Amino acid sequence: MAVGQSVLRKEAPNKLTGRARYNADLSIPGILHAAVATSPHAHARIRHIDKAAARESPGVAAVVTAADAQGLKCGEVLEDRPPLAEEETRYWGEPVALVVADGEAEALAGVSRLSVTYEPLPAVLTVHEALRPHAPLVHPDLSGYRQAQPPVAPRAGTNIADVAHIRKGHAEEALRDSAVVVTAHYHLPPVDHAAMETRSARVEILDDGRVIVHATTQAPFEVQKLLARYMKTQQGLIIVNAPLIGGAFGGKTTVQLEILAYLASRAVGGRPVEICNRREQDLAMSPVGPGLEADMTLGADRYGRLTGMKLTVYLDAGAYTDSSPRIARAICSECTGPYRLEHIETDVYTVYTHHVYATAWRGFGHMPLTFVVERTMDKLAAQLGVDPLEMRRAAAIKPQDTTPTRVRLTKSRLGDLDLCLRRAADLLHWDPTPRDEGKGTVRAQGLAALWKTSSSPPNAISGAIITLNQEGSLNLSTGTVEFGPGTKTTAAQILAERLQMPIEQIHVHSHINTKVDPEHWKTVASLSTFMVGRAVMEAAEDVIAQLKQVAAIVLKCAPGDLEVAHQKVYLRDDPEIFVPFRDIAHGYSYPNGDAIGGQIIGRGSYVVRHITTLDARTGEGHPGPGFTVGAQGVEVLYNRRTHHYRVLTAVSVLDAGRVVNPQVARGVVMGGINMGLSYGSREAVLFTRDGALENPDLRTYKVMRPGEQALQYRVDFVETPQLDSPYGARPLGEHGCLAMPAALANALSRAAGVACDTLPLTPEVLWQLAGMREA
Amino acid sequence: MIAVDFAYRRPDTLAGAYELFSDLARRGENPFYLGGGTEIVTGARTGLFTPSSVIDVKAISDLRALAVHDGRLILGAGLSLREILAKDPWPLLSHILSRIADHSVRTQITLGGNLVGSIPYREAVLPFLLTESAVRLYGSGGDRWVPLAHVFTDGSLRLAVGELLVALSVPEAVTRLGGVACKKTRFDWVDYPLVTVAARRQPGRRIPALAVSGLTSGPFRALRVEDALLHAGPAEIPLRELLPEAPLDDRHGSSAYREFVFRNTLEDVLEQLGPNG
Amino acid sequence: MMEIRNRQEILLHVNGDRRRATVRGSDTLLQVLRTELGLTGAKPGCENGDCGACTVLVDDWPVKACLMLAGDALDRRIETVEGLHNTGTQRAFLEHFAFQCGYCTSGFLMVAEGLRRNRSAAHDLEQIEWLRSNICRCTGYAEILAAVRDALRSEVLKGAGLTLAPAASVPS
Ligand SMILES: Cc1cc2nc3c(=O)[nH]c(=O)nc-3n(C[C@H](O)[C@H](O)[C@H](O)COP(=O)(O)OP(=O)(O)OC[C@H]3O[C@@H](n4cnc5c(N)ncnc54)[C@H](O)[C@@H]3O)c2cc1C
Ligand code: FES
Ligand code: FES
Repeated sequence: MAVGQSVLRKEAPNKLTGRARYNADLSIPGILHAAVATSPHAHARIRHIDKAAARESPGVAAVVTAADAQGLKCGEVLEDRPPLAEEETRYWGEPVALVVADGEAEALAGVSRLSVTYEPLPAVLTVHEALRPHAPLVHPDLSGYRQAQPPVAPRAGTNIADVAHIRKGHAEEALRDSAVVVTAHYHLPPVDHAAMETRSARVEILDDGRVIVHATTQAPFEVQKLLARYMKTQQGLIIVNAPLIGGAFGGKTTVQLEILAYLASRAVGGRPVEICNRREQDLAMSPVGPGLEADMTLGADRYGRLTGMKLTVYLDAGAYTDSSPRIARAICSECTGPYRLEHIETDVYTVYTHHVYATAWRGFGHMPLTFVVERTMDKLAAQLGVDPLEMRRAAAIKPQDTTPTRVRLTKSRLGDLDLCLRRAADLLHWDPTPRDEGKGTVRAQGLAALWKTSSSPPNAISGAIITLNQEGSLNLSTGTVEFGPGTKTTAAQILAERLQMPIEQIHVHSHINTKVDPEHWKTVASLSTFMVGRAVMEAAEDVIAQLKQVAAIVLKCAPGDLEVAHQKVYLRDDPEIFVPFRDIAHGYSYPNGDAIGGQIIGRGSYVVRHITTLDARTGEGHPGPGFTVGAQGVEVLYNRRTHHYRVLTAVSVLDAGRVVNPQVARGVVMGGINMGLSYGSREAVLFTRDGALENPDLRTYKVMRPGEQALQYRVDFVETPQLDSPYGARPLGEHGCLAMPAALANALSRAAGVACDTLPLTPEVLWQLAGMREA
Repeated sequence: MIAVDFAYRRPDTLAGAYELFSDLARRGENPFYLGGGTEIVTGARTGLFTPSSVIDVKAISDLRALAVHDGRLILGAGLSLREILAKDPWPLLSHILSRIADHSVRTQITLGGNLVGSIPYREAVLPFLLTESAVRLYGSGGDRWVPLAHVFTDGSLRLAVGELLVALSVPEAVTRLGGVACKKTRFDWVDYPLVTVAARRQPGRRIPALAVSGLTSGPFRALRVEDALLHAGPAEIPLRELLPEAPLDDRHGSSAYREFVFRNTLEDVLEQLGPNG
Repeated sequence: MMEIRNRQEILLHVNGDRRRATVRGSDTLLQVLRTELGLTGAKPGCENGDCGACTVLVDDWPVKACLMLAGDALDRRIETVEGLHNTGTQRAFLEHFAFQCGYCTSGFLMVAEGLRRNRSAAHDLEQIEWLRSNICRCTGYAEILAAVRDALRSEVLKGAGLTLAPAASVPS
């Protein structure tokens, strides 16, 4: 009825009239504004902060510094980050002080009058520098930090915040005995999320102790819990509102501005304070996606069967860990790519450097990981002289194989990679041989495969509440934030399908309020359909049971005789005998006014099951409920003289389990493709030699614009149901981007006859690579 | 939002604008003329500029001229790039303007603002560097036309304090000569140039007149490159000796890459203009 | 001489109405629309002229409201997304699912509306040239381009007294 239909997003009409309200659109008159003074050094000692002139500035109500945070340290995994820099600043753009004032202009004027005396210190800007012996330490007190969400393994006295491992089989021996072994080094820069809406937060502390937060967050319940812990107050007193979000991509998981706004509000007696990132601040001060350096060695026997691998990844976390240790474990869990490998030795180091810290970025480390694995696979195929498609098909991981973390795979858990590969190759008209197109241009293709599971914590929960309106329509409340992929609409579709009723009669709301909405862990990891869907299914069962119970009395039968559909409860053997929802939604009234029952309220609750943390030494464990596998490819037209190129065709085939909303799914995948190609071709957060951000605005931080996207998208889905997911649906929100940079690099490596092992692949980079080849 | 406050004023005449500017400056204020505002507004927001007043000059009728007078095409400095593109009085100029910023921003950027502004590319000046152009200035030196070459030196327009750029002019005949423009960026269509070249056929000469932006710190007429091309191809000429300074080395492109791109662009330009230059 | 000094009340022509607003000389049109007039459809994405989320029509032409001072808008006709009512452009965006988070949508709609008014016969490349002024981080752009193409095509047909059945415009 609703699942499998291209249903318009519930909030769609408002987005076309300007009536959809995002956080900054909901400001209130008279609110105070906080402006942030940020560090002009990558690494410096704060000698002195002179607040006097700023405090005297017209309209300024308070100046807030680290002293007002009373030693508070934040961090999702490791509490290493003071909300405002304490004695030292650790990145250019780090918040140092807040000026709270009547208006934004007054606050900014206050910031310009604040005088901070810095003593610049030597900085480490790359993982290489950070790992050198005697390198300046980003966190000399590393061992003193509280571990909020282990596992994390900091190494005191170094810049290594964490190490995660996979040890399976005997990689050393397997590689020694291999017929062919390839080794390569990869370098990927940090990138920004560049969601079109910048981050913002408003906080008000009421006299009754309640704290009202409005924020651009993907994780309102995390904001609630962290604020309660940091501020030593009840979770129930922290009420977090998350309105529509203007794009997130992982960047709105970190709890940053919420804490700053809280401190600001506290400094002015709890009055409402707003803090809204300007784009420059959003790039420089708020977290980015991690860059990495990686070395991978991969072996095969003479038949082309993969034998063993070694992978060392240095994840560039920047100044604070945030979610990097979790990203590191996600990389470990899927470090082989979707291939069968019994002998694995993987180490992922999370390395501190003096630049803006990293957090989740669409795919949670899987896009860079896929780049590393899929480039290496292509190199191996070239060494062996086999078709890279056939090599991938032969190596594809299958049911009964085990993953690097030793999860035994089933068809339901895994999906069908071979089918994805074949379909993608068909859509691309796969031909691994570059073709000369005359006038110095070459047409070439690249393919890459992907897989990903959610890497959620073992106790991630999700809930759903259904209430019936008197007329028999339904309200569905869930805890997911709405930032584009239409998670609310998907939940409504699942409910409509289960109750066999029109989706127009199901109402969702796009604002989350942690006080009234049931918790959903975080709107990340593309998990909403699965987790929320499970909760919705359970709530639907609850509603059905209640409906039947009342209807059974009205219709004088047993609940077991009844069915529910089309907003009616009817006798299975005679559907003409029924009672409509509207007669029982708020209780049933007999003609004489007597009433039974009450409002029907359904509840559903879900916790991920069988998920475990990974063993510290071997990585053994169960990282997520199921996998999404897929294959993607591109065809490029490349100019040998100028090194310019154009993506002609982009292909994506994901195993979606079940496509709940075809047009939305297609759109989300196309958007992912575009983001992946944008990342692959032009994006990088750049730092000067002093560690200043070199491209702090969208004039210079380049993302794709219309006309630069692939000329053609060919998007398809395979449907191997994940049996424990509602209607078999698998996650696909992040996946559209995951293999695109790898596919692009594989195509360009072939077109240009060079090894594209770094990103972004701008014409200048290709020119340099070609120059090195000639030299 | 712009943190500092400033007054917005829109005088109706050149004299009114100049007097207002001088008056404010005399009082120790920091007035700015306002064209399209695309540079001032963003610069004031980031704190690059701190105007005390902006004097909006783009609607003054002299800055809105677009006419042929005495065999010369006159273009008011207050015309927006989009307005010039719509009238298309000089195809080579249109080629260049159509690649500056993006369509929406071109509705705001003025010809004058692009030439006077501090963003160093000033691509709109390129076609004017290829011919006997003149500029009309209004200020302490009175209301006068002077050759562009006298005031556009080392890549920027040298204006006296408070001097207004009113209009530019070129011989109308020149606007009918063939020309090409070629803009190369790091990768994106909408971006600052790595290299932009404007080229115009020169009657009786094999090599076209060339003007270049993006390659070095400001736009320049590449006379020495033109001469060298008489004797050798773009790949062979000793570029570094022919340029006013070494190619820029920045996040858009390295010096060596800019040089590579420039040579390629020269090849493209020569090819497009055909065997007779 | 027109002038805005300190905080001053001005009249702006917005969406067909004359609206009063108290502004500073340094306020941008975007700021005034959003905070003075409550028209939050135009979004700040960069306040630097780069993203186009703030695009409005000024005398029928798409302009980035973050780059324009309020004073500059004094005697001009301003239209924001709130002024569009069930236009072909909006319908085409809906049919093509031409947005996800929706943050960029008002800006794209205004560019598309500008195209419809000024250049309804624009060919694909010209459409792209206008739309390049804006950034969308969620979609793959193909949906947006298809929506704009459809909106313009039905405009052209309408000019010829024809209409396009909605089904014909839904991509297969
Ligand atoms: C998104 C974007 C992309 C861009 N891309 C490019 C690009 O690709 N290539 C490029 O060259 N530039 C580019 N620019 C920069 C652009 O060139 C400048 O912002 C613009 O040229 C300034 O013109 P304006 O009319 O807006 O000037 P304003 O901002 O009004 O003024 C700029 C300066 O000129 C002065 N001024 C203006 N008019 C006069 C006059 N008549 N007489 C005397 N002084 C005057 C002002 O006082 C001010 O100092 C881009 C800008 C944006 C916003
Ligand atoms: S906010 Fe105006 S262009 Fe981005
Ligand atoms: S829909 Fe999110 S930015 Fe375009």
